[in-house]
Amino acid sequence: MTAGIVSVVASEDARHERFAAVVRGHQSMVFSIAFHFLRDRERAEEIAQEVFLQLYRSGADLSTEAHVTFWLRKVACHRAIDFARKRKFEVALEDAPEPATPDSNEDPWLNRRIRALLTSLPETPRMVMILRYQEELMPEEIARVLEMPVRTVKSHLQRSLALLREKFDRSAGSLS
Amino acid sequence: MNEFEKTIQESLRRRDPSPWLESRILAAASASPRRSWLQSRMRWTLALGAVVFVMGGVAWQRERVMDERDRAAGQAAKQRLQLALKITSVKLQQIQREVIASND
Repeated sequence: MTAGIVSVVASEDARHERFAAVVRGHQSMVFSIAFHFLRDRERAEEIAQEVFLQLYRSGADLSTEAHVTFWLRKVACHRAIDFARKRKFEVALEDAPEPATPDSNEDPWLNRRIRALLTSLPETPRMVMILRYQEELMPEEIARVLEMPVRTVKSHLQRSLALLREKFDRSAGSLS
Repeated sequence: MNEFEKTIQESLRRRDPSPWLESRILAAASASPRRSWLQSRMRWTLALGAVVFVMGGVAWQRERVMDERDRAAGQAAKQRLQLALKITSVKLQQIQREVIASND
């Protein structure tokens, strides 16, 4: 009996350690999905915390790296989309707070502009773009994460790119 | 990937959250981890036990009903057979009486 309890406690500790490693390894992915989607650092961190706690409480198998990554991506996406839909989340594009990490690109204005334009997309295409360009996923992988047909993903990508290009050119033209 | 897509990729590269996010998550997980994990295990065990108990009960009840039905059917067959034997016996006695009477 005692041996059983000891083994449960030991496996619980091992699981906690494994969970800490998962948090360390994936926090930037989960946070960035929510942050690029909502453009709000505080909300993005709240969502990241909820996602990791959901993983911990679910008792899911933490030993398979691919499974954990897929699970976290999927839940982070759905939570961010749900959050935006529930609260009718709207951020004034230019007023949205930016993260402390400086842009490595020489033109931070360009990056800010792209992110602001991205925020103007509807929820689903916006998340498709984030998964494609932040996570560098292929349309087939995006389709699995967002549970939608590959054709829909491809069409979102094409239309969003065209729309962003058009808006970007227009805003660049108005500045010059 | 064209230049515009590369620009999007650069704009959307991963960011680091606040340095205290990790400790916040781990503290929240530690707050009620062991109990909830054990509870979830216990819940599953109890649910499994309940399912086994109910299924066993249903199987036992079904067996009992079948036995009851077989016994009733056997009883009815026995009664039918007894009745048939009684009728046959009456008929045989009747024939025997007629045979004796015709001999006399």
